Amino acid sequence: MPVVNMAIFSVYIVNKAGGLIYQYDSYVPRSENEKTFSFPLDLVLKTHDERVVVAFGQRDGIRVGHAVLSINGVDVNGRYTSDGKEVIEYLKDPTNYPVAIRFGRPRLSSNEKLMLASMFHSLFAIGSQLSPEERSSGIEMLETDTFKLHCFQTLTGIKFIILADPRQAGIDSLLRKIYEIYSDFALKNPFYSLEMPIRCELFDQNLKLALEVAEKAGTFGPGS
Amino acid sequence: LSQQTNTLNSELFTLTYGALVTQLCKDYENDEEVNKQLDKMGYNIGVRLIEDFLARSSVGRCHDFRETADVIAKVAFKMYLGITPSVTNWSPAGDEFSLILESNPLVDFVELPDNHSGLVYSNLLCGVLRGALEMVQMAVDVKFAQDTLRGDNVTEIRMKFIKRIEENLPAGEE
Repeated sequence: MPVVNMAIFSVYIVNKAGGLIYQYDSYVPRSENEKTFSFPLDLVLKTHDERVVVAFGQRDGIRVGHAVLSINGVDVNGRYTSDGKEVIEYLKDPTNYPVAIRFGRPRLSSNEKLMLASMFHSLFAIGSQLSPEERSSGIEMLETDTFKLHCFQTLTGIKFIILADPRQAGIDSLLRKIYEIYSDFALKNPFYSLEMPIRCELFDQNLKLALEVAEKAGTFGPGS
Repeated sequence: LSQQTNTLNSELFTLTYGALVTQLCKDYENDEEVNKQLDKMGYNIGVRLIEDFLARSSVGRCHDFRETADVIAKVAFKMYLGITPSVTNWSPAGDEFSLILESNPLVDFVELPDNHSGLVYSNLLCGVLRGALEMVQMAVDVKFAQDTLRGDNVTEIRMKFIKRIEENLPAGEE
C-alpha cells in the first residue's frame, strides 16, 4: 500500500502588521483514533479550554489530553457537535450507545493560529535584535524534534512560513515559489485587498500544487 | 521554476492605456484631475507590482539611492516596459536624479491635442514608481520634468528621495 508522505505540514502567511492572512494545513495526524464504545464509557471526559478532552483512562492509542474530534462521524466543534448536541450530556445518555467517537490531539483553532502567528511576528524580530552583527535577518529557521519551521521575509515585510518534516529539502525554493504564487494569484486579482486574508481559489489551487511538487522532489523518506 | 512569458501584443497595451486616459478625460473634464487619477491608479499598481518584481528578479535590498536608480532603470523598466532609460542629472546631495526615456511604449502613436496641454499622459508611471518604492520603505516624489508629447526634446522623469519610511520596518532593517 503506497505511503502518502505528507512531509510539508503547514503554510502560514503573515502580513506586515503581524496579522495572519493565510493558513493551510496538510498533515494527517497520526494519533487519531475512532473507536466504537458501549455504555458506560470507560474514559473520563472533562471540559478544558472550551474542548471536551480525556481526563482519565487510556486505551487503544487514546491518551489523556486527547480531544473528542467527532461523534458518529459528525465533527465536534468545542463542546458541541456540528448538529448542536452537547457532547458530555450526549455521552451520559445510555440510549445513545453504541457510539463511535474519534479522539485525537486537539487541533489549533483559528483564533489560536492567529495569536501564534502574531507571536511569531514579534519573536521574529528578536533574531535581528540579538545579533552580534550590525545587520541581521530575523529568525529564518526554528527547529524541534518533530518539525522545522522555515521563515522567509520579503523586502516589503511579508512573511512566508512553512512547517515541514525536518528531513524535507527544497523548502527555500518552495518559499520563493509561494512568493511568486502570491504575487500572481493574490496581488494580480484586483478584488483582493492588500494585507487582508487571502480568499482566492486560484491561489489555493496553485499553492497546493506547489506543495505537492516540492514534496515529491525533496523528501528524504525511509529507505532512501 | 517556470516563468510564463506573456506575449501581450504591445499595440493592445497602447490601445488599452489610451482608452483609459481618454475615458478619464471624459469623466473628469480637467487635465489636473486626470493627472491625479492616473497617479492614484499608478500607485495602486505599484504597491502590487513591487512584489512581482521582487519575486521574479533576484535583487536584494539597495544600499543607497544610486543603487535604487540603477535597479529601476536597468532591471525594472527593462522587465516591464522593455526599455532601459538612462540615469543622469544627479543632484549634489545624491537625492535626486533623472530618468531619460528614449522611447515610451505608452505613447506610441499618441499626439496631444491643444485642449489637453496640461495633461501628463504617462502620469501612471509616476504613481507606479511611487507606490512600489513606498513598499520598500522609501518615500519619493516622482514627476515628469520633460515630455515629448508636450513638445520637449526628450521625456524625462525626475525622482527625488524624500525620506526613509520608519513605520512598520521589517525586522533586521533598523
